[in-house]
Amino acid sequence: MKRVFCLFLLILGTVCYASLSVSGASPQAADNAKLTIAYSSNLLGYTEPCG
Amino acid sequence: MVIVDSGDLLNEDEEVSDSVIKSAKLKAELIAEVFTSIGIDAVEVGELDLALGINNLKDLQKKYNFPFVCANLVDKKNVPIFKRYIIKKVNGKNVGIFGIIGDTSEMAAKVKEITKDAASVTDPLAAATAVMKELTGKVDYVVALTHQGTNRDWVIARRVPGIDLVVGGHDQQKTKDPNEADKTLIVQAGVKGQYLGMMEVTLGATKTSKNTLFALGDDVPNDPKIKARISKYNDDVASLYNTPGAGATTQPAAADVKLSLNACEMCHADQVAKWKTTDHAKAYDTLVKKTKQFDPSCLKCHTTRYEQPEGFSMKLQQMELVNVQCESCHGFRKQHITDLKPAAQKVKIALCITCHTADRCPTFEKDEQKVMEKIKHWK
Repeated sequence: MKRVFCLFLLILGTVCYASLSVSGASPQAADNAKLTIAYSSNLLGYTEPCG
Repeated sequence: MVIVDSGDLLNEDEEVSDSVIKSAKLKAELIAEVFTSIGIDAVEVGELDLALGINNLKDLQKKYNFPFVCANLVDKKNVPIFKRYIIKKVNGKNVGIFGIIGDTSEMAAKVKEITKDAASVTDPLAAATAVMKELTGKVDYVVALTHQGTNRDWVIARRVPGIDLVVGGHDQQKTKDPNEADKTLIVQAGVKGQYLGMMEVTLGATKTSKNTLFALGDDVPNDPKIKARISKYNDDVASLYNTPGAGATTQPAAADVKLSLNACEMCHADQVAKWKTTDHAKAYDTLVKKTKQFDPSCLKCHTTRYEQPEGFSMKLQQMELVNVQCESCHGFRKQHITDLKPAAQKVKIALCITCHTADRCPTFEKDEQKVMEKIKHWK
């Protein structure tokens, strides 16, 4: 029983360490989130060609 | 996706005269409505937008929840007139977007004049620094929408740490390859909707970016809903000017009207005969075919001496002054008709390119000789 509990603690500790390792690193490094920025400039009220 | 614009979005002219303010407001509303429908997130205020009047911009902001941002445009009490910045969450990441308008003496004076002292411009660097202080720790990526010209974009990128991307405006540049100022990228998407910029960013251990300028040419199909909305705008503008006393309902078709150049024809018959074969003689017809014959932004280049003394006016809609007639290029010649003194002036290409702009005619200047042949009516 004691051995099982120790094993559980060992596993829990490993999981905690692993998650600490992940959270200790940059969250950006972990997920590589994508972002798209669509931009326009100087439209000057243009809607369509005049002729 | 984040969608932004760096200003001078709604209007083209520094001065919006009483005769065109109604149509200018209709156009601003059209653009605000369309950009809202595509999910615009932030729009920096340009000085040409301000020419519509601050209250008009505030009305659009209220009606469409239109996201104007500007950190350094303040009222008489030194309070920012629009939001200084916004934060948008995208894919679990916070993106901070703020706006800056330039403070050159020219721009500052223009803003004060246009807004009749209701607004003024404060130091862009101080405003940007203050915004960055507030955003630090709250956002993963920062976009500065600037309206001040590329030279000043370099300055803000170098002197205000933490900005990832500057989307610039005002000096009408097109940057296929972004300028790199240390870790900040600087871009601009040209003029009059010819291009849409797309910056794809990966937020990893380091930020990586790929910029693409998409040319919005004829091969890009129109969105039917937006096209229909533009047609409604054309009809609304026509109804503003096509009223008794001003417009086509009370005036004959252009083809039935003696043009102003008939006075020139008495002595310059050969030149006028040649002119009649050119596109300048059909300039107004091209507008009629597209129901654009009441659009002030088109009439400027498709009529003679638009809104100048004794020239074509929006209010009077004089059909004898439609098309690009003699006085469009050779100037007002009333005195010459009276005294018959030599008056012809050599037309310089600088005048031509006020209408044949680079966005409309990209090779006009390069092909000067070729294009001049098309209108040649001299020996």
